[in-house]
Amino acid sequence: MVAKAKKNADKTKPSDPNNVEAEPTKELLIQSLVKDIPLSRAIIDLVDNSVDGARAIRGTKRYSGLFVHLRISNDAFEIEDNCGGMSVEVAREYAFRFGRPTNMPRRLNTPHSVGQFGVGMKRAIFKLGRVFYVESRTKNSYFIVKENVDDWKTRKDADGNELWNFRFTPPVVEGDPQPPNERRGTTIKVTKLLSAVATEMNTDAFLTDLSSELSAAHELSMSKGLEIRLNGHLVAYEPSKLYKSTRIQPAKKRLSKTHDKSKIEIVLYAGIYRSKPSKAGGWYVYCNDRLILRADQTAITGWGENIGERIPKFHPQFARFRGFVFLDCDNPALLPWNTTKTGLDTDNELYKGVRREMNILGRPVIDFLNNLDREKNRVTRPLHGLVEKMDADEKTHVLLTNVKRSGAFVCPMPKAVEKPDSVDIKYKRPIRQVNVLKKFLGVTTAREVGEKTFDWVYELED
Amino acid sequence: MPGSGDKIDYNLRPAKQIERKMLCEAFRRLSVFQAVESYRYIGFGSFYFADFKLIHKSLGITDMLSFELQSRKRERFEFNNPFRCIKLRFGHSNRLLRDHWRNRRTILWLDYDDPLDKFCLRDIGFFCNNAMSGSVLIVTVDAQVESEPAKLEREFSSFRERVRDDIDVYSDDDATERERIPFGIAAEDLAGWGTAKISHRIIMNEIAKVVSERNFLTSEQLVFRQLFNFRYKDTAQMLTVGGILYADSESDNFEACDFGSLNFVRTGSIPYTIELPKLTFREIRYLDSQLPINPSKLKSKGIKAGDLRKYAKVYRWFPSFAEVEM
Repeated sequence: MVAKAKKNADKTKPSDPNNVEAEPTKELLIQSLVKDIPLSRAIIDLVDNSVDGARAIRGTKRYSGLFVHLRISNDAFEIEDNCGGMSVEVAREYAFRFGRPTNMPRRLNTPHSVGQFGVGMKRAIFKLGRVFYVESRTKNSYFIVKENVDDWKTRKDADGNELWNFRFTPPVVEGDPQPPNERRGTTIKVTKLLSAVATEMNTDAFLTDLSSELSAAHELSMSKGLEIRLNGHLVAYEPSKLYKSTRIQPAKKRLSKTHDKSKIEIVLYAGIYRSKPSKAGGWYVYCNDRLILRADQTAITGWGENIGERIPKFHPQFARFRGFVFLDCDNPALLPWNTTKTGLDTDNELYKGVRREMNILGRPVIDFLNNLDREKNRVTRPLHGLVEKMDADEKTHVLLTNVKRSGAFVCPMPKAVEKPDSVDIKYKRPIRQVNVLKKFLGVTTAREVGEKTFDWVYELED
Repeated sequence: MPGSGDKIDYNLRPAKQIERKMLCEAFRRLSVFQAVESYRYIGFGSFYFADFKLIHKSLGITDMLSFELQSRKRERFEFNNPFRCIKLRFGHSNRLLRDHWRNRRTILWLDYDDPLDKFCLRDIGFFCNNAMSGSVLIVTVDAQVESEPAKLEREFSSFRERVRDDIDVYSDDDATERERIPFGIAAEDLAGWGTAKISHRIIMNEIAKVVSERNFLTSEQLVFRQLFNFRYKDTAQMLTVGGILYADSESDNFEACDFGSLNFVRTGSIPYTIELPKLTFREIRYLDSQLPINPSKLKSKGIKAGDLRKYAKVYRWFPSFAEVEM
C-alpha cells in the first residue's frame, strides 16, 4: 500500500501542479563545496584521510614504514599512500557520498579520526580537476572508481531524474585476502586539471607553502614515523619545543570532559621559545593530532579577550610566547573544528572552556614577557641575560613530550616592579612671567620656579 | 576602593550600620557550609574598621584582610587597626586580590565608595573565577545621580565609558572593548534610583558571564545566588548587591541556610530599601517595649503609621548612637 502510494507520487511528480521543486543541483553542490577552501587546504584534506588510515591500522603505535606521496605536475595531481586502504563497503556506502550519514556503523569509524564531515575527498577532487581515478586496496578488498565530473553533472535517468551515483570499474574484490606483496593503500589521481589550479599548483611559491603547511599540519604524525613526500622530496618537520631550565619552566595542564559518553582529553602547554620568526609566536591548536590553528595571534585564541583572565592583544613583545593545545576525542564530531579544518568554532562550549584555560595558563607568560620588555631601557637586564642564554643553549630547548611537570609557568619575578614614584612635568611660560616669579620666590632657575610653585599649591591643597 | 574614610566616620552612617548588621546575621547562617569563624573575611576597613569590628566580634572570624589604596597614610591605618588578627594590605584591590587570594571559603566585601566601574567589575570577575563553593560576595557602590535632565546625558556617557570592559593594552586604538550597559538603556533611565537599578543589572550580568565560563569544562557546576539588593541613602544613594557562590553538589547546604526566611534577603531586581524614621530615644524605647508585634498594632503618640512600619522593619538592627566608644 505504502509502496504503491510512493510509486504514484513519483509518477505524478513532474506533472503535479502542487509540487515545488527544491532538489539541489550538482553544480550548486560542487560550487559551494569548493568555494570556501584554499587549494593547499583541500590537498591537505586528502593527506588527512591517509593519516586516518594510518591511525586505523596502527592505533597509538608508530607509523614507521607508512608513507603518503604527493605528485603535482602540469596535467595531473596524484596522492598515493600505503596506509591500509579503503574497503569496498566504505567506498560503496559512505566515502563517495556527500556528507557522512549519521547511521554509519561505529566499526567503520576510525576512532580519533581527522576526517569527520564526509566532504574532504570530494571537495579536493572538485577543487582540482574534472576527471578522477580512485584505486584502493585493503587486506581483503580492492576497487577502482573512475569518473568524468562533467559527464556526471549532466547524467540523468530515463525519467529525467538526476543520477547521483558513481560506479566501480570491475573487477571489484570483496572479502578475498589480497596478495601480501601488493600495497595496501589508496591512490587518487585527478586529471583534466582546472587551468587556474594547474597554473597555481606548479609555482615554486605554492609548493613551498604546501610543504610548510603539510609539515605543520601533520607534524605529530610525521614525528610518529609517517613519511610525507612532495614531488619526491621529503617534507621536513620541526617538532615544537619550549624553553625549560631550573628558572624557567613551561606550564602544563591536563583536563578532560565527558560528553555523550565520549571523553575529550585536553592538554595545554604555555611557555617561551625563540623570538624569531616573530610570526611563530601565539597559540597552536591541534584536534586529534592535526594542527588547526598555527601561531594564532587573534581573539580566537584569547588575545584581547577577558575570559578567566584578561589577555592583551598580541604585540611584538609576545613573539616568544608559545602555547599549545591538544584536543583529542574518539568522536571527532565533538571537537570544535570547522569543516575546512582551518579554524575553530568559537561558539562551541567546549572550546569556550578551553579558551578560558588557555588564558589562565598564558597569563603568567604574558606577565613575564611584559617584565622582559620593561627591562629594555634599563642598565641591568637580568631577564634578558637569562633568556638570551637559553637562546644559545640547545639543552634548554625541550620537546613538549619531555615537559613532565604539570603546573603553572615558572619564571623569576623581578624584585621591584613598583611604578616610579615621581614624574616629570614639562611646560612653557613666557620668560617675562617666569622672571617675575624668580624674584618673588627668591630662586635663580626656571626649574626651581616650577618646583616651588607646585609645592606651594600642593601645601594649600593637602 | 576606599577613600571616603577622610570624610565621614563610618559608624555614623545609620543605614549603612543597619546593612552591616543584617549582612552579619546572614553570614551567621553560612555555618551550614563550615563553621563561620573559620571563614576568611576580606574588606576595605578604612580608618574605622566598622565591618571588621562587627564581623570579628559577632562571628569570631580571625582570618581577616583589609585592603587600602593609600599607602601614604599607612601609619594611620595601622594605628587604627582594632584587632591583631586584621592584616592590612596596601595597593589596588585588583592587584591585592590576586596576590593574597587563598583557596578558602571567603566572604569578600567590595565596599567601594565610588560608582560602579571596570575596576570593580574586575574584582567581581576575580571572585567569580576563583572563589570556592560556599563563598560570599558583597559589592557596594555609589548610585547617586545628577537630578537635572540636561546633565543626565553627560552622566550616561561617562557611565558607559566607566563600565566598558577594555583589555589593558599599550595604546588606546587597539583596545578590545565590551559594552556593559544593557541594550535598550537610555540616559533618562539613570534618574532617581535608575543608576542603582542598572548597576545591579551590570553586576549580575558580569557574575553570570564569569560563572558560566568557569562552568564550561568542569563537571561540577557552580551557581551564584543573589541574596542581597540593598538600597539606602545616608548621604549619597548607595547600592549593595551580594550573594553566594556554591557548587551544585552543595545545594543541600545552600537550602539548609534558609536565607529566604530573612526578611531583608532579595533574590531579584526588586531591592530592599533601608529607611530610618527619625525618632527620639524615648520613642525608640517605647516602641521597642511593644515589639515584636504586627506593625499595624504598633503605637506611639504623633508618629505616622508609615514611620512606625519602617521602624518595625529595622528595629532589631537599629543603631543606638547613645553608646560612646571608649
